[in-house]
Amino acid sequence: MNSFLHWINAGAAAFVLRAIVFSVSGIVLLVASILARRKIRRRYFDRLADAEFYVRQHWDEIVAGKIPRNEWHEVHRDTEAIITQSLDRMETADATEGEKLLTFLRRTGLMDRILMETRHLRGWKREAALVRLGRTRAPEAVASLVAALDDPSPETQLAAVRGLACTGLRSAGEAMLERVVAGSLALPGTSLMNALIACTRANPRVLLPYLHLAHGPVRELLARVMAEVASVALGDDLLLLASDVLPEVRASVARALGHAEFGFAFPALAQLAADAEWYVRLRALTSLGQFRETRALPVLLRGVCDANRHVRQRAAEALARTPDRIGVLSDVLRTADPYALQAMIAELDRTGDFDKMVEALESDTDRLAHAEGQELLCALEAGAEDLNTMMRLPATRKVPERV
Amino acid sequence: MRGLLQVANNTFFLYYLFSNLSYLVLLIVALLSSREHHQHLASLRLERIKASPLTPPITLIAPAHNEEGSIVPSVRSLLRVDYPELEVVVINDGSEDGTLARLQKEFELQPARLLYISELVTAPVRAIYRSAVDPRLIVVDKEAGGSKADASNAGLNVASSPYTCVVDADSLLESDALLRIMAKILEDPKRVIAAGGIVRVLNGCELVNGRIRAVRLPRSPIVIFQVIEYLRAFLIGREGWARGNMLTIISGAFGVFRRDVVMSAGGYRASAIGEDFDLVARIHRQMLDQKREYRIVFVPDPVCWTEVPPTVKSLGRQRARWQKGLIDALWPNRDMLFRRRYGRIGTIALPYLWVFELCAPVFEILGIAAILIAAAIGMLSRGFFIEFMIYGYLFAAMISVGAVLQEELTYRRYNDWRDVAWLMLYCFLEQFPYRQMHLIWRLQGMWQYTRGDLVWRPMDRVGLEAAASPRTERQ
Repeated sequence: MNSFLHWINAGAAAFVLRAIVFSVSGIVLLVASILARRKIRRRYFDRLADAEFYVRQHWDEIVAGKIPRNEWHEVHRDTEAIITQSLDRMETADATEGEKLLTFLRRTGLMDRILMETRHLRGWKREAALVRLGRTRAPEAVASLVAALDDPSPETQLAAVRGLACTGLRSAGEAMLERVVAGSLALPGTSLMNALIACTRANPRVLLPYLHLAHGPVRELLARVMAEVASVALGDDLLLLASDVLPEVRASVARALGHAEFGFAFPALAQLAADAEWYVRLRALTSLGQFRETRALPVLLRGVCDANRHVRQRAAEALARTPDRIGVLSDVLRTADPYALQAMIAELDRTGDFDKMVEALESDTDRLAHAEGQELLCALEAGAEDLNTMMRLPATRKVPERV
Repeated sequence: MRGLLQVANNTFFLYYLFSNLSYLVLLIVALLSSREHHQHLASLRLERIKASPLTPPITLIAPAHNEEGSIVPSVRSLLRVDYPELEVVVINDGSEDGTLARLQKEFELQPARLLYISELVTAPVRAIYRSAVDPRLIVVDKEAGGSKADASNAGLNVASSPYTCVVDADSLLESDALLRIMAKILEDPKRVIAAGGIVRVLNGCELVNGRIRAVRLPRSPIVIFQVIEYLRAFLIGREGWARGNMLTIISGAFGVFRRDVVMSAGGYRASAIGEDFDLVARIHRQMLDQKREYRIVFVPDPVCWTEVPPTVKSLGRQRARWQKGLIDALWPNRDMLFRRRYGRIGTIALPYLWVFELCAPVFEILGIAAILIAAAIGMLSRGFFIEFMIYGYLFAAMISVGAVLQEELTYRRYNDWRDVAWLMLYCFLEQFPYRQMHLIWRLQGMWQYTRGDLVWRPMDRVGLEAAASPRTERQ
């Protein structure tokens, strides 16, 4: 014990001195980094702003070639500003304007310059060049970007993925998908998803073979991409995917079917509305609700009696949009499920239609002449009162848990 | 006596060494982590999340107790949050001031027929209202439950979305905060069950109509110290711990949780003092008990601005309460310590909290006393004593400057160079006497807890608009 204490004492004195030196160096380094960064950024952005101002003022002359290329080509900042300006304009340009800008980049050698940068620069400069190359949306950009996907550095891969996302081209999507499925592109989900969505939205069919090949977390990721891009363009494949093992895929099918023909979509949606996973049922009911078809009512009525609160709400939302709401309410009443009735009342209240419905029922003497009409009015009033009673119930876990 | 002092000094030295080493490790991990996160932000497309049909609805729950001064701008800012399917539930937790009246007047509240199931035990609910101006706003008027946890539970009962976000009613969420935090959750919705955003200090900023127009550093030293503390706690602490999936706290001021997970964990513990920490600890326990794969993440870019105590007295009360909350959450979970089934939480995160957070005031006070006595009786050379003090001072200052650098490298909310200069200066001033005062408040908290004094002492507030006005600050 004593030797240990001695060791600490002797070590402590030497350590403290070193620690002081370390701390002082650390502080100097950190403070210097903050100050230097501020200074450099300020100078850089001031100069860039000047160059951009010049470019903006003379943009038409530059593009038309009235200001000779030699005048600005040698000035690095001016060239940078022109590239930035072209790419920014490309983002909002229509096809003709975009093509014109691309021709300008090619004619002036700026396109070649960007391509060269992606090959010869290193580190963050190369990454920035890759993103810029993608932003040109030029078909010739894809090859260089795809080559960068195989770079060992994850930062470079990420920049290539961002660049490919900007192109939005099918070939770019396929190159990424190949590598994702092969496991050679392990990047954060958001970046990959964004890129894949951008490149497959126009043609979701591209995803199908890879979805069948993939497994584990990669398949989950592709399923989420499919959920975003799935459309009726998938045709019969959509129906096949309705029985996929992954709930994400089934949910994506349910969403996509909402945009299909009712006759085509209904059987699959009815099946998905009875899925084991609540969010698949929810999507199916949401899609069914969009059709406003009376043939979908039995499925929606089953949905409003669902064990999951979110599913009940969506079904109630869809039912409350139907034209014959009084008829629908009678049907809900017939289910004898108090939670279904409460979901309907809550939804009607949310849309501000509850009081109107009660008033309409009260003034509908024909309907009130029948027992069914009276029963409905009573149920509505009692149901609304029930909601208040439930709220005032002493808080206890014994309250039936149908959520 | 000398032997005892020798042991005490050496223990304190080792404690201090490990403590500093852990801060240094956290700083390095956080710098790497935020660099990575910043790169990923470049490919973040908020408009895609906003337009996506898969983006799940969220319920914002804002418990309010006597928040008359800040409730209207706060609710306005919540309703202004940019999110496709949003529901805002304000819980009037038995306020004795005009909180409910102000809400009724500003948002034209009308009684709502809404399904309320008391899944979680709360104080009785008196009424539920919906705004006629904006139907997304629901106000639950309930009897005072004596804690924010009780009010949050009532909000959870009402919430109709699969994700809930509890925010303080005296806080302002940036309009893209939910989209940003959900982006991280949607990256892996199966595993990410909760996410915390960053909380920043509102005092001193320019606020117009419930929106921050300019971020400014306050002029009051006590608030600037807190700015540094918040930067350190979030940009270094949370970022570092989250990297290893060891986040044990998601700030009660801003955190998104999967509702089903919170409900199955039993919601907030109504008697908890630090309900946010307590909930996260119970969620960890539940997930690890069930051997489920899960992640609790920290996302540094979505911002919640909050009013911090502007006076020493109210700051002292807040810190004493935080310390009580820490004990209150750690003690019931002591059985998680060093148990293999609780993985890194049981073997690294919780022991760290016990030793370097909970017991820190005791260790530090005893250590300082031992060193002073040893120096006084000549056991410790005066040279070493001074060197040790300088080391302690410089190292702590370095970590704080590291937090400022982290802010500079990433989010740069303080644009004015004078604000940054003030921040750096205060990194050096923070060590004395603020740090010692902080130790005393935390000891007070521990003392109050052991005596059973768990009474909620409200913070002195000037209201959001007033707190945010730099002019008020200078006056």
